[in-house]
Amino acid sequence: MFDVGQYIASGAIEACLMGLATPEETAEMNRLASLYPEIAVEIAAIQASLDGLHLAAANTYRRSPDPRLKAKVLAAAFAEVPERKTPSPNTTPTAPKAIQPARILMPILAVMGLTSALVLGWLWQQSDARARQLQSKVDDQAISLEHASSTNDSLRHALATAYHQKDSIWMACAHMVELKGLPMAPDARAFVYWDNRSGEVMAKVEMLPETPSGKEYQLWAIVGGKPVDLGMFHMQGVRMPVAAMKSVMDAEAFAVTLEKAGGSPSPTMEQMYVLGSV
Amino acid sequence: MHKFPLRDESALVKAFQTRSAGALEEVYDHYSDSLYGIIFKIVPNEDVAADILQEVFVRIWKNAERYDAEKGRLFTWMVNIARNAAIDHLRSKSHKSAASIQGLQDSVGMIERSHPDTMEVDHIGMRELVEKLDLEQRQLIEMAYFQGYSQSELAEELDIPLGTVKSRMRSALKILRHWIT
Repeated sequence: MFDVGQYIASGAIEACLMGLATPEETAEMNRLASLYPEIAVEIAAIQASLDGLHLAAANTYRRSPDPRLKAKVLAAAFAEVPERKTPSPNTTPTAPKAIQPARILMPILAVMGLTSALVLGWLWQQSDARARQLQSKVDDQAISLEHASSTNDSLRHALATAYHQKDSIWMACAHMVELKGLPMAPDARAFVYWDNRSGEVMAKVEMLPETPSGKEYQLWAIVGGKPVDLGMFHMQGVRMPVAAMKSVMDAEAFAVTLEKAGGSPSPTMEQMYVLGSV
Repeated sequence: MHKFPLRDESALVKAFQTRSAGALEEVYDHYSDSLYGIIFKIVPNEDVAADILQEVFVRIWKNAERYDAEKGRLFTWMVNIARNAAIDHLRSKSHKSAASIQGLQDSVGMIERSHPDTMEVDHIGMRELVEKLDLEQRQLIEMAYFQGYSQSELAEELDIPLGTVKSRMRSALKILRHWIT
């Protein structure tokens, strides 16, 4: 049986992150991190202190290079890859929008309704001349309108089914990460479905203790050792149906913490309820 | 003009990742002192350090889109690249045996050489950090971080078992973790 605590205490992670270990040892660390969330969390913490060491070292040893070097360095870089002519437009990238069934369905329904109305209008115009004859045709049209309406219903139904299937297919293709209960709630369980190509994340809660008032659960991804906010859970009692969360790339693990309502900028580690590595 | 690393990098990061006009120059203005300083600390020769700095800037510019803001600050990413480039140079020249004897004196020396401007930025300096370590831990960090020793080389040089190298490194970083985060 592999001893996670012993592995962490051995200092192997520190050696890998400082670039002292062999590539084999580093590969082994990454493999273990994918199996044991505790190791992923430990890697994150050690990386954070190494980053601090980088900053401290860089601040302490600041030293100005020869001023003539600047032009040479920039020229060398632009010889490899030229810079763009324009300064960057200060636009904020927009998050990919979720496709909303209503947006597609509404125009289809509108067109169908309008077509039916036009057909009826034309029929009524004709009715002056051939009222009686056309009456039956109007009836026919009414029937076909009814038919169209029921087609509409089935179309709506088909679309809903398609969207449901799309979600199911998406969820089947996505990584399923099981978040297991930590000591404070051993029975807690949640799932994260994560598409590592698009970054899309869906989450589902099987069981989390009911939230005290003024508190909400917040989902986090561990990316490069740092927690990234993925949004709040809108619980229905102790469960939550599948819900879309914020997207994330390169996640290593997912965790849920109990935070003040509306969320916190960084997770409260003592209030971590479930954790699972990718 | 001498500028400090930015506290809020987000605007620069965006310009840098899209390789917009002026972005690399701004990166140079803000960070070349820090990057050059760490390179010079590892390879104390003006000409060689200047060559390495140039190589580092070419590398970060070519790989601009590989920088991931979610994985950490741009500054930390660049410091890591600068340190690796300098250590690669050191390893390729195998300067290590000469440097190793200086290891201990150097770590004492680096306390005095700390930059007076350090306190203006909101980061703790190396001096404050190193003071938290005992002599053995200090020596190990110095040799591993600035001199590029591998763990087996450290074990050999310090004449201690490989396991002790690892556990000592862990205890050193654990102390630093307490002060940094």
